[in-house]
Amino acid sequence: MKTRAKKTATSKAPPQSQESKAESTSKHTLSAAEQNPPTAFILTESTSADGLSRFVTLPHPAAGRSHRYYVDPKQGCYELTKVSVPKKACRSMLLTPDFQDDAIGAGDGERENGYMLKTPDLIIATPVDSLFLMLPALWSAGKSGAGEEWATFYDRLFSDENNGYMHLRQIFRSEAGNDLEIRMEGRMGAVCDNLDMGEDKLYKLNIDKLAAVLLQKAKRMVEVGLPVSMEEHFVRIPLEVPEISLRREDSSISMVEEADAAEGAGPQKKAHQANQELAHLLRIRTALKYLCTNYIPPTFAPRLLAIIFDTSEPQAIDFAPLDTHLASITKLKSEAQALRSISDNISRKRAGGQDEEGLEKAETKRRKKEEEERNKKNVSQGVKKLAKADTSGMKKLSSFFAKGAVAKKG
Amino acid sequence: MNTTCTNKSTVLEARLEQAQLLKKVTYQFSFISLTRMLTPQQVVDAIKDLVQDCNFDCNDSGIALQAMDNSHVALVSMMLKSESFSPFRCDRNIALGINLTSLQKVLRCAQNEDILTVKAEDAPDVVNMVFESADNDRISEYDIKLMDIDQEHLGIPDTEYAATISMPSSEFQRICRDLTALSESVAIECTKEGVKFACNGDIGSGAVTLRSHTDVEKPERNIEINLSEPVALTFSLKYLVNFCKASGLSDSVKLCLSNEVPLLVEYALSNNSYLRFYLAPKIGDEE
Repeated sequence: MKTRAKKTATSKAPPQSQESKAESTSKHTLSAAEQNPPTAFILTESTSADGLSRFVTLPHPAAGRSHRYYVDPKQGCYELTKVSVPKKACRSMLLTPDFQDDAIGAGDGERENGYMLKTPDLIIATPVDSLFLMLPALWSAGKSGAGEEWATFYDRLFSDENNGYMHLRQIFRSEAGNDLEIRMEGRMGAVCDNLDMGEDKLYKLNIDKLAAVLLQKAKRMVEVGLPVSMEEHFVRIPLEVPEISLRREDSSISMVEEADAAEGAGPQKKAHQANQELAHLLRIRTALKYLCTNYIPPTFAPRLLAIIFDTSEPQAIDFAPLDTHLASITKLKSEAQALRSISDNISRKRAGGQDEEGLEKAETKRRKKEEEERNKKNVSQGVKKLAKADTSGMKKLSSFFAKGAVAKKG
Repeated sequence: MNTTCTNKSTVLEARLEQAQLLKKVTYQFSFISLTRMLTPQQVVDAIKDLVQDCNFDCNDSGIALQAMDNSHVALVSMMLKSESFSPFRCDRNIALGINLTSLQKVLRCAQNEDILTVKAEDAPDVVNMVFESADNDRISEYDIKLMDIDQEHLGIPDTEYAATISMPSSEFQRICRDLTALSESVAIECTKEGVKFACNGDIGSGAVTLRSHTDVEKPERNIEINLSEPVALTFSLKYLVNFCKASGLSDSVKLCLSNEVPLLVEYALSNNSYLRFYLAPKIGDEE
């Protein structure tokens, strides 16, 4: 969100000014890089035709700062995520019109319509539950502790002290915005206790409800499947048992005890099943943590997590086996690490030494031998004998005679 | 001495009546011996056992050579003046880097009475040697590949030596050979009474003393000792024996000594040419 210039819903296509500029310059000179280059966005496929979708500034649920969102009254709210390449990766992005569409009419001139982006950063709009967007408005109520106030949906969002939702208000005023308003109010209801006051409903944040919603979302995330990188980082690697066969049995025994339901199956299958369960637990926990860090203020997250992990609740998930398993794995890993650092050291020394140094030595030895042999052929007996003469106590002649300035050479 | 200079690109052309001289020189340090057949062969013989390869620096005053042995404690310096050759022509200074063993091999192909002609072109990669037998019936020709030799050249000053001894080269050779049997090094003491070569080895000790001696009938057997102050120095016999291989080049040898400077062993050749050896004394190593 750093570039604020030329931020339009149609920014998929290059801006007009750029095109004309490119045409005016000759083929061989490059136009100077733009001071404030446009940014590529990927927005929803079908934005509202009436042009009601907007970029709006709303408070970020976790950070509290203002943050930009893309709101389409019909489709809901979208958060914007910047996807950037590492700085070292020298890449740029070429944007061209869809050739399939105008393949027939596409002449050479058409092709020049492409636009080169120096930095291939992309900003992608992804749907987000409007519930999260409203959370900041609900926290403010939550802060006051026991004496929490009841307030209507409108009062919550558009109170005098809290004008972060001004942009939303404008959208709500439109016809399509009405739908959005109703939907958002429904989402607010999902995490709040409500009080029906006839025409208006009063809302108050219920943390338990929020916790339940979060847990629900986490489960959904796991069902759909965590992103590959998250799965790899937070699930597969932490559950990886170091390769010490003895120890592994230790940890799987405890697993087997728990999974006594599958008694008919062989112990291997049981272990496998137990591992699957553990992985599932870990996935849920990972998803929960992800949600909390992204949408819940850091001061509030621990309290929420405590509620979710509270085992006294009937619906709560018991993460205890996972914890014990993870603890045992970390212990194993540290042991393996300690062992490995010793053995690794030894093996590396050996391997490195024999492979390259050895070869090199042999090579130089061989070369020396060859050279010596060649020299020997051209050395007279007398020179060889002299080489054995005892020259101790004899100074080099260069210490008696100055080195001649003229080295007589042709 | 017939001269022929048909090849215009030839920069060096030196004709030596006695191929043997160069041969002999080669030997010593592996020297070249140019003598009576004067002996390029002998010269080479004389030096080839001391050095492996060396540069023959050719200029209009003659052919010079300076080389050190591998341990850099001995040095051979040869000067074959242009007068030794006839004709001698050298248009430009050139250095011929020659492996002495190779040179010796070629010189062996010459017979003692052969006339040797050395030729080299400008910026040569070979040196050409022609041997003509005295009656001109047989001409043999050899090319020796040249080498690039990086040698440090030492500037040797003219030194006033405290003691100068002239003696028959065969006498010096005999002394060295005899004493080698006893020890590796010889102490040369020069006093008014004479010069004493003494050695001390595992099996015992030995000493040879020479006094000034003048033989009217055979002046080549004279022993002359010129002394300004007494000198006593120790030298490696192995090197001295090596120097003695040049004995065939000259009837007499001159030893020049001063305390704490290298010994000079000089074999004078005809026409002011010479073959000189320098050897560092052994210091602080009393055996």
